[in-house]
Amino acid sequence: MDSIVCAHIYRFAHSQVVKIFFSIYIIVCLLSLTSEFASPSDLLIQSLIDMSIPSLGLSIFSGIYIGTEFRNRTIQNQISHGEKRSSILLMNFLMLIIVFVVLVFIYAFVPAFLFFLKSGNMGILSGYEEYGLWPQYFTRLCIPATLLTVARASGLFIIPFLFKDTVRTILTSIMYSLVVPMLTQSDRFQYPYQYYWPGNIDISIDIAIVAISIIILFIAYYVALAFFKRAQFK
Amino acid sequence: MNSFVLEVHGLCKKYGHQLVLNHFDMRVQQGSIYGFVGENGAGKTTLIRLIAGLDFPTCGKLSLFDESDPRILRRQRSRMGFLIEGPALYLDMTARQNLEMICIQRGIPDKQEIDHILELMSLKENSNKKVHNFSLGMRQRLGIAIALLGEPEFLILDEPINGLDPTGILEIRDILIGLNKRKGTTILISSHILPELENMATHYGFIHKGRMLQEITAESLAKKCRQFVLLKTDNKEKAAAILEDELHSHEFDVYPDGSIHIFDLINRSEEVAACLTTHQIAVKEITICGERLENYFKNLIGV
Amino acid sequence: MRVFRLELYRFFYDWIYYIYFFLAMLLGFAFSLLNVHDLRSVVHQIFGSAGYMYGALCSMAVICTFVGKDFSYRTIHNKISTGGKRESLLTATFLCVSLCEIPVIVIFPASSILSAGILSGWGTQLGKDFLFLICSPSFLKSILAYVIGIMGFSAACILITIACRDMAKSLGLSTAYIIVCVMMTQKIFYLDSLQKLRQFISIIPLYQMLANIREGYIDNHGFQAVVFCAAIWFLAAYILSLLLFRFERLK
Repeated sequence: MDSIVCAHIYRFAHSQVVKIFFSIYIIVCLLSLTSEFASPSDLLIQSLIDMSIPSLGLSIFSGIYIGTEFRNRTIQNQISHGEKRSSILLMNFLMLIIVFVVLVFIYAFVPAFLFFLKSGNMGILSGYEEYGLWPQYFTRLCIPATLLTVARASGLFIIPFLFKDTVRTILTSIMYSLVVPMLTQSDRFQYPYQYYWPGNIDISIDIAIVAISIIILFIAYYVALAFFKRAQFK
Repeated sequence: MNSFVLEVHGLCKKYGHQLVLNHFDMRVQQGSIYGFVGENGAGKTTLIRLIAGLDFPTCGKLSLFDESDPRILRRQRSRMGFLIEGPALYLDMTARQNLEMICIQRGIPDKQEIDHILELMSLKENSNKKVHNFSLGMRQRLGIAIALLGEPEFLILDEPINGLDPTGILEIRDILIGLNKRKGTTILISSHILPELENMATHYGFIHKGRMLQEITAESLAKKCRQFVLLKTDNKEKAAAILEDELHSHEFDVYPDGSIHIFDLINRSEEVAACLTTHQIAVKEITICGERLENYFKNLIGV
Repeated sequence: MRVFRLELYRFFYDWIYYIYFFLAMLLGFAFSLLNVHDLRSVVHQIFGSAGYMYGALCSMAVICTFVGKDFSYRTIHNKISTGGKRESLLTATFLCVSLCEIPVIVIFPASSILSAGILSGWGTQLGKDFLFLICSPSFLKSILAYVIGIMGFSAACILITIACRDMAKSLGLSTAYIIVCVMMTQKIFYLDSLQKLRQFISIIPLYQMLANIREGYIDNHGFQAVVFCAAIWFLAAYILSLLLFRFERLK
């Protein structure tokens, strides 16, 4: 399994396509600097909640990275050499999760950091001036809330292994990225929308969110495994 | 010791209603070069994909290196090299990077092996060129290089000389024969270029419509590929009549192109020529030939 | 003409075109379904950045798939090697793709408004308002402006596909192009601090659509502005594609 990890790291380091993708993505993220946010805190939190741009980014990435492995049949090299299909899938799955988290953080932290450099301080989140428990809130943002965002994007991790094709992966993932953020970022539902904002939320809710997110990711992995384990490679 | 690296018993593969492999049996002896011959759509690539674990049989048994347990079977594949239906390459990387990726994947620590393989495949000059700029032949060579990485004990090559120039074909032949002789590597080659297989293979397997028609050694095949007298005259009907009446030959075939193949007068070609001349039939050509693998295969499948 | 008929044949005999049409319709339904809270805002959102982005993505899918397929599957070699002129081929492609993407672009806002009407309830005032809206000439004019604007804007996706010569790469770059343009036009249009950039961005059809279509209504001046910008964008994409394609090395 560690040979697959090393192979992925090597490919990341040497793939021009990956470098171009991240360059374009950072440019897209910097466009959010042009919005009129009251403070870097506002920008950071709004960007952490909004998963539409990171989802669209991952849609393209999963197509050009995983989809290409199927199109060029390089994934067959691994299978025919005796690697377990579940290990191959697990490594790719984890890689997609890591990339998605990186995309979310780039989208949130890079513009917020630049805004912070310009304004000199993080500012106070508008509407939450009285709120005092900031360290607790940022810990919640970085761990359970991020896990929740990853769980919302779990369909994107299954799609490449379902279609095994670059174009279908990109198109289906884009469709998913258009519909799911609409559904899960709406203020119609208390959760997950309210969870991202500061508030006196009991730790049991945090634990429940972490548990539910991990369960969703496990279900996504096993669904992908169900397709991948018996997949025929042509 | 006659051990088998690959044994297939009663293997079936069905795609929907179509039966692609029909109770297929095959055995590949260790240290042999096995020529796998069949028409398009016979099931060669399907079988190779089942061996590689890329697909799953509907029924039957497959064993590699005497192991048939699916979990152990998977581990046995690490002792093998494959080239299936064309090379699987990262097009945005160079040849060297592609090989380095494979080394990392297979846990091959020695990077010098990459230089050795590139040299062997005559790709050293182009090793830093991106693969999407490679010609078909160069990609094919790189695909074979990938299959050879790690010095596999059993090499499976599906149409390895597709797209190669004549020099390349000779080089690959020498490499494969060298590997087989020096390191005892067992090689299974599926190819449509039968004259090339004739130069290499020690064993043959003939597949037709999903079934193994015949497995035979090269020596037995040579014996079976009968010699005959090839006769070309200006009047094939009269020549045929003379062969039957005067020379009492009963084993001969007349072809539409005017040639006659005589099987029972191998050592009497001078007598045949003299007899025909006496009857004022001009002999354009008379020579002793052997049946080629192509004809043998065609006769076997009944074409 | 023969080439144009060939391209049309390709479209209508490819089931994926109908899948795109169906998916665009579903997207339209989902768009209003997810705004059940406030259906009145559906029209505002369709003729806002969200609606334009969704429409552009629908049209991009059609363009990149059909034009990109020719390059990815190398069927374009057949067309050129049998003596086809590259200019005629490109012109036919542009015309055909533009024509065939119209239903896919139209169905998104149409299904969104229709589903908003259904969700409101036919008997309610809001439901009747939606029904009345669909039939009103000013709304139909807005839809026409929407379609023309999106067609002009997404013509650049044809240029991107011809430059990339690959379906997957063109999908990726086209998505990036659409997101960047939508975000840019939205921010420059709404933010006063960026008003100096408006004169540069006003040539993008999306900007004209944002500026001129209001709640499903567009005046003559606004309609002309949208059509003019879309035509400029379309023409620029066509000319650049022609220059690129004429001497392009086909792999």
